[in-house]
Amino acid sequence: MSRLTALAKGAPVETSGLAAFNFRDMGGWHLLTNEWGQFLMLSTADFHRFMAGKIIAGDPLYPELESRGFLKARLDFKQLAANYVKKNSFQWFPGPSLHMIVVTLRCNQKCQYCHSSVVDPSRTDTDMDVETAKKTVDFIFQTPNPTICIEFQGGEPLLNWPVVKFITEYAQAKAKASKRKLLMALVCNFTLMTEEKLDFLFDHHVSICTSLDGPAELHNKNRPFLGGGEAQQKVVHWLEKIQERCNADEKKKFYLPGALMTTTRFSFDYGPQIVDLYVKLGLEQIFLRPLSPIGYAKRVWKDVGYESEEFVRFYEKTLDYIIDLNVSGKSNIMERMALILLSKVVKGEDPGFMDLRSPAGAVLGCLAYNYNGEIFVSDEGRMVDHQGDPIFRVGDVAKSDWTSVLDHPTTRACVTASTLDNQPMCHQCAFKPYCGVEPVFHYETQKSVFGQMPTSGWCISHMGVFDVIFRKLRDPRSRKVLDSWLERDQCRWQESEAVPAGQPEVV
Amino acid sequence: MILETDVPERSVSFDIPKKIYSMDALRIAAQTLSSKIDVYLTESKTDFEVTLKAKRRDAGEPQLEALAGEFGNELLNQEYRFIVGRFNQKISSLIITQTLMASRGGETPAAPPAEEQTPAFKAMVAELMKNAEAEVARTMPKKIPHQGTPLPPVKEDAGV
Repeated sequence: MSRLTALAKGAPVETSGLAAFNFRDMGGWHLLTNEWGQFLMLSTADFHRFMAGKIIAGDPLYPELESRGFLKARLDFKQLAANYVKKNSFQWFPGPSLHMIVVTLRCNQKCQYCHSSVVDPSRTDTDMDVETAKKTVDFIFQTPNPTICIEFQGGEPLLNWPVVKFITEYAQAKAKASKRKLLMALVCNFTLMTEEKLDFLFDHHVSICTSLDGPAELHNKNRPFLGGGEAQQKVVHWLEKIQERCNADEKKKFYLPGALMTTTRFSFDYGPQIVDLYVKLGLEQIFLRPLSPIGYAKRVWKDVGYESEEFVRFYEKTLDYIIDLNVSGKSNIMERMALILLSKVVKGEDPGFMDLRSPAGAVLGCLAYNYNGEIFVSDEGRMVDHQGDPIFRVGDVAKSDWTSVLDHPTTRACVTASTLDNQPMCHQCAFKPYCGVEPVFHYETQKSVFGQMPTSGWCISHMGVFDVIFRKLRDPRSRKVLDSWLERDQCRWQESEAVPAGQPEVV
Repeated sequence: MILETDVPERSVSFDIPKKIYSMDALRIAAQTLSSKIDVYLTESKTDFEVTLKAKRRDAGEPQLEALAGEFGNELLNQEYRFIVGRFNQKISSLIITQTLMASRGGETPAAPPAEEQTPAFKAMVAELMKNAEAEVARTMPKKIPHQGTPLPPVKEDAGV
């Protein structure tokens, strides 16, 4: 049932001198991790010596075990506690920083998987009105985090452009008045972009991100226009155009657009081609994201979904290709999931990724606001509501205040369920210090916010990706590339220290 | 686990030792799988006697055995969750309390900044709203009355 690894039968064990740790047999070597976020990769022979209590002072491995908190009598609590706080800094955050506003459910595309549960462009009843938009911003500024990031989502947010503009200007006025940091981001499909809209976004420091699933034949299969037609060419056109404008102006260089891809079953045959397109377009990063069986995707899972193991194989193969490009000097493109995990594992920092936290980012790190002002624990929670199940609704901008949202029973349930110390299997897993579970995913797939990790697709795919990353860290050729990525990476939106309070900043 | 299947009744029965599993774990497992099965319980001194009745009308022997396996996995998961919960209660309570307290952002919520109460700020907001409403009226299609939830609930066996 479990995917955890156990000690060999009859192996000598003397743990009285060892501090608490988890371990994993990685095939020829063992990974040790602890709550402080420290890790060690030991040969199997050294691991057995460690377990037998045979690594003593004078052994070449002893100083490393000591400094990383694996020896009970030699714990430097001050340093290790500082490591813990740095790695889990979100446990000290005053409320959510990421606020996702769905300004409309309408969309002009009909994506195979549509994560966001969109409706036809005629459904103007799903547009956020100006009054609700004002109340939404007012609610957001009730939350206590000094850094606020507002992300426009949809549907296609450009279909409700006047409200996007209003929220941007109103939130910026409020940020200035309250001397808080404000970051604005727009996630759109680019097909409705115009020069005028782009000017507004640049002038108001709104960063832009789009969806790009890969080459035209793949993207247009995954994300066709309603009623047919090819969308990929428009995405590429606007990506190039925005990049051109950013590169022509020193001040706009920080606003280079980003792109996200979603992996469907059809993507498996296109790994290198997807990467090549991102390289050709000069994108700095690619994020190999799995599809989640949430919302509409759950309905079409038989057509576009896959087993978690299949995703892990695709991930490893494509990451290998990216690393090869880096080694050969053909490109220095980075993979985002690897960067997120490396920030946690190697730098011991929290990169601000809501899904891999304990407790999870639901409410504590992010909130989602529907077009009608309803508040959800996350955007995925909103999608469940869209299917007729309001379980993840925690408030309404017209009636609720921040305290009532935080005290909501659903919030408490999500926080408890996503604390890994409460989870069978997770609490023994070597990846626990860096991992997290997502209550909405497990509710959707296993009918429980707690989930059942041994059979969870979430767990299978994340353990698989962690395995891949640790194997790359063990390999000197890959390690060199991964270290260079860490040096270049800037997780700017979470900790934009250089930006004066009240000023807009790029995500 | 010895299974007794009754295909015409769409049911599968088995015993669960009371020594290992609690009634609480059984109840949660039953609730978790309530979309697929009804669970009937009787008790002897040492065992819970469990009968699962499949909700799918076409459930044959392999499906009934699979449901019993699924129920067994969930039961184990829930029972083990109690053990882990008790074992780690102190540390998990500490983490949850710390996180919720920090998220609250202090005992009393901060008052809105004084600048937002000024006539100039209020006038600026009123102007922004007026302009936005005017742009909506000028450029957006007419808003239709609420049409209800666009999608009916998803079927259970969607293949996930």
